[in-house]
Amino acid sequence: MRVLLVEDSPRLLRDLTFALEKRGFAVDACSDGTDALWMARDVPYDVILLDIMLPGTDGLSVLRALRQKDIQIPVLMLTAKGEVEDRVTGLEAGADDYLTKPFAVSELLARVDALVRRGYRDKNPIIALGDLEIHTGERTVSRGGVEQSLTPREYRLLEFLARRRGKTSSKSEIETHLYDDESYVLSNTVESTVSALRRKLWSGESDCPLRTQRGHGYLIVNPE
Amino acid sequence: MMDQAAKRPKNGLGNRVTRIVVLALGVLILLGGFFVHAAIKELLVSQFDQALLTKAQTLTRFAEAGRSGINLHFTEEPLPEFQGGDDSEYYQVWFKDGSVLARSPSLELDQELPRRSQPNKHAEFRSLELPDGRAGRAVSLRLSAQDGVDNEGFIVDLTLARSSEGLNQILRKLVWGFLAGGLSLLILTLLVVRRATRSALRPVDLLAAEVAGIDAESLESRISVDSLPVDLQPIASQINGLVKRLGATFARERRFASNAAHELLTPVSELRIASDNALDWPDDPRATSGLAKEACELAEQMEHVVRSLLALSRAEAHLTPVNSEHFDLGNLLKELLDSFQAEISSRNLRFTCELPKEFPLNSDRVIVRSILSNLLLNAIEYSADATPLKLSGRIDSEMIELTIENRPDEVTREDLEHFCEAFWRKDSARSSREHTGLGLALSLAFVRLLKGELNFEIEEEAIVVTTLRLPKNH
Repeated sequence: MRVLLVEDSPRLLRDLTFALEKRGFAVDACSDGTDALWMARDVPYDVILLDIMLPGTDGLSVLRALRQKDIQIPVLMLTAKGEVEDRVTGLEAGADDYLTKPFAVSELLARVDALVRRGYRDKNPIIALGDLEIHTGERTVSRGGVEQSLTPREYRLLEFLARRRGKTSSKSEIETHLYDDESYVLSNTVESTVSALRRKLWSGESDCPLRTQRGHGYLIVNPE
Repeated sequence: MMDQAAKRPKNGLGNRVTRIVVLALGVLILLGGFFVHAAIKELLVSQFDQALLTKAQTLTRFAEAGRSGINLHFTEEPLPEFQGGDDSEYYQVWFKDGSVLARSPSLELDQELPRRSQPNKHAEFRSLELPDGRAGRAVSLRLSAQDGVDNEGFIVDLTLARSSEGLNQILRKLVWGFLAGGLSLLILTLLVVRRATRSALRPVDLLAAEVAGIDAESLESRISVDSLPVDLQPIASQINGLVKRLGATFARERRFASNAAHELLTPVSELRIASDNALDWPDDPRATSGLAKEACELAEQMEHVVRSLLALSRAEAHLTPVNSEHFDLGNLLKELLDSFQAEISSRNLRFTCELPKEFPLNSDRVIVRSILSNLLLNAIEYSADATPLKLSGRIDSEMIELTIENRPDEVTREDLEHFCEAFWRKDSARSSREHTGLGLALSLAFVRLLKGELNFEIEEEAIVVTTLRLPKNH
């Protein structure tokens, strides 16, 4: 999943990016409201983490501009302003959630996960594909109760396709959602990751749910 | 608002005015009625008495005294009113020695009229009960009669009495008339005054309703002054002024709370996130390296904010001790400017200085140094590059005055109002970590502690003029 982090504190920007990447998110970071507006318009992020007090365009103005353009990306507001009226203002401006500083990293990550699930209309943190279970909270995968060992890149691709099960995602779509601007993506990264997933999870099975739609992309079919 | 105007409280102005007017009018009507009634009664009684006296005097002209009594000859027929029956009148005549000389036929033998008792009065009037039980009025006279036989004169007392029922009835009707008239007048007055006060006080009711509608959420609203009567306009203007100041105070308090939260909670948040990462991923050098150094820097940053806040709080409460000493302000300024020289040079500021050769000051050197340091540093750091920066000073009889002129980027007149507001910064995003927004607030608190003044003005070409005045001898 790809998130946009907008925070003008260099330390917070750096440390939150670290924590989100460790969690398996692809993170684009900026420290200016005007830049954030441009980036959010161009990239279909899964979640935007938005500080309120920003140079350039402030966070609330960025949020209102996004909603006016009907950009419905879930937004988590971050700020030191914790009064009730500040929270109400943020939520009424279109924020999906609000977190006041200081906060624990674990709480931030849990709220981001919840917003991602909401974006895919998935209330259950466990995605089940037959006997395969993807535990989105812990970032683990099990098959028949046995935990499977996947790399972060493999896990992200599996979760992305599982959330869109039944729908075909193109290669460029996959790359946009899974890799941030800083990532170096080879032309066959997606193909090799798909291959690795099939090998690790459905080796030797004729009816692998992870299918290639030639010329269109990849999908995971709904289990029967 | 209309409902509030319609619901008039019992102790409201309108009801009070109505009560006072009706009460006053009631008292006036009562007193007036009383006196008028008394005057009319006196007049009527006087007229009655005069008629009674006239009749008594008329009777005496037709009296012929004889040894057997007085004979009254008015006509060939005896006077019918003295014969008894309905509406009888009565008379009785006494000799000087008190023996009865004559009595009217209407008077029974065992019935007596009162005799004259006040020798100094020519005619004596009194109210009495007539022998037939009716209320009456009598006049008693002393007169001289002539013996028809001997032609000798002698003194007799005459009392004539007649019914006063008619008079009393008139007087009763008069009283009822006054009461009915007075009551009607009072009721009419009540209605008229009530209506009049309601109409006259309507602007007051509307003003009261508008003022009652002002609360913490509506401090931007103002009462419309022009639509009010002239005598209420000063009140409305004052209220508008008070609400405006209250709104500004509330806004300032909200800004303070919000900015203080940002200044204090942001470094705490940075420390927490960095610590969480280090705890969750202790083996990742990106999470752990430099953590100690950053924690130290953040702690220093928070310490600076907290100390500044405490200093501000103490200065505003006049708890900061002031230790005065003699020193030369010029030397202190030179010392500060030397320390800021690098900054001045790096910004290419065209610095000029005009100070008196001797610039003595008797004040707290440490506090003055803090004030000047804040003001100079502020002027230097916020001046646009390559702009003039001027420092000048003068002394008068009581005060020293120091002026700093600089040209900052994008400062407006509205910004000047907030210069000394705690935590206020021109950059609303508060991006820079070198400033907390407490420097000028602290300077102002210190200046006031030293009984001085600090002012900011914008002159032509966007030059900000900072004027500091301090007592020469604190």
